[in-house]
Amino acid sequence: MSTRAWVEATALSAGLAACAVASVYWGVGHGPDAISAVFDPRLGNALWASGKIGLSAGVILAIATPALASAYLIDGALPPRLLVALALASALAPDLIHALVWRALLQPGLGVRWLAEDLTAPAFQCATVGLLLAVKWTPFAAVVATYAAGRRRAEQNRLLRLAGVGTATAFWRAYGDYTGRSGAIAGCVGVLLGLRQHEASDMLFSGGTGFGAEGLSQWTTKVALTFLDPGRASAEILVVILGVLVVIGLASRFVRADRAT
Amino acid sequence: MTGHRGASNLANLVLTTVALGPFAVAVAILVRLPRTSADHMDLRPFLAALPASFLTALAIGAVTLLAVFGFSPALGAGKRSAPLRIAGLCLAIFAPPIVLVLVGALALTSSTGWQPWLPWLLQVVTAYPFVAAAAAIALEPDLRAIARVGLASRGVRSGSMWLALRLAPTASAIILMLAAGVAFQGYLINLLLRDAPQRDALVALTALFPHTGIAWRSGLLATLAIWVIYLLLSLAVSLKLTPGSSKS
Repeated sequence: MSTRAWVEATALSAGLAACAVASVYWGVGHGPDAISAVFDPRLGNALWASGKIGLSAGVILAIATPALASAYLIDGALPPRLLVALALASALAPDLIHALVWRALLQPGLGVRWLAEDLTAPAFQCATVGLLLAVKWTPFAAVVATYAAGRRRAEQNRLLRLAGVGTATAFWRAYGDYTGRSGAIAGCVGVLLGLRQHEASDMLFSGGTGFGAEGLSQWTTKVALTFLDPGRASAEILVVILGVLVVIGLASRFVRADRAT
Repeated sequence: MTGHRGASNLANLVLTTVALGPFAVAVAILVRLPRTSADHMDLRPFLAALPASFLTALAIGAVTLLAVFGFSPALGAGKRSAPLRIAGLCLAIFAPPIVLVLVGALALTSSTGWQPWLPWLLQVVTAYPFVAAAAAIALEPDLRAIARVGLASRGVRSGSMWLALRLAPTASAIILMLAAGVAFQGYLINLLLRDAPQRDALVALTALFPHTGIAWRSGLLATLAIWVIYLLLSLAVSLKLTPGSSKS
């Protein structure tokens, strides 16, 4: 196999996933499944919940990551080794481990009472799951962003020395300069992590009050394994995958148009 | 130094609090918990499943490691396809749990049922795309440099994977950790393995609590034990990864 073909095949290996879904639909699904999937209110509810979770995680990561990286940036410092290890451990530890710890924190009579009252309210359950994911990934994202800014940090320091500006001014300049790329990447990662998550919401709220925090993964699991209807599940997922591809395609066009101008 | 040392100290404090805070509070809860007879849960299933889970994760990490370095010759030759990579990465991040559910459902409803090798195959299929794509993008400069050395010195493609492995032990360690971390999160797979002997440690852990609602002490102990293992592994990687001084 040529190297180029291998790279493309690997980068698009997720395409295999789409093919697997399509093959299941082809094998056990039916035409009406796809039509009913589009108009299924529970699917809409699951997409909305996943979107809220992803958006919460994405917004927090997009704001916090460049802020923390900027704090290192203006100091010309790197996070110490122990902190790098903590950040790595936080990111790598399974969602379930974090969710179990948060479950204890939010347990009435066991954890932190005011935290439990606020964060477990039905209106905030999706945001709480997003917060959990953001807390899990922010340290790692900030460490990576700081290390990735190596050359820029040196240049920034040189300019700051020449200008002799105060800490707050230096921070806001660095934040403004740095927010775009690292914030956007961290935000996108947060949204995607929120969209695909399963364990956190399941462990924290068991789908939430009135299925308010039941994400897409939980819903399709239920359809496939509890209702034993893989045809309908595959139809729903095909609809979602097509939606993802359309969004990616549109985003790519915008990026190309932006570069052309 | 610019005289803004307080900023990085504050960042250190914030990051430490965020990374350590929930687990520190969990320890506090654990210390405060009264010992009750109802909390004497059997940790043996969890402990028995733990080595197999870690070995599986590391094995998948090793496979992924070799696969990721396959990128290096193409990157060194300057071949890129950003939109395709982005699309692949987005789908890879989004799709795996869904595929698991469907494949699992199909297996459950088929007449053959589960095969012993199926869970392992599912682990590789779901862990590999995400880790391979993410690591290849994150480590692209390293991989390019490695590939240039490989192409200049040997001019071969087939040997560059092994060369990369030899030249980049730190990058190898990161990829291994990332793959192992992702593979160990195969919680969904193991949801499908309730009656199979290859139960995952995490599933054994969730059997302890909190759905039972009483075994907080055992459950928190097991949770913290897993986290400490991850912390020790991360510490080993960070000692290789970071420079000696925390100030540049």
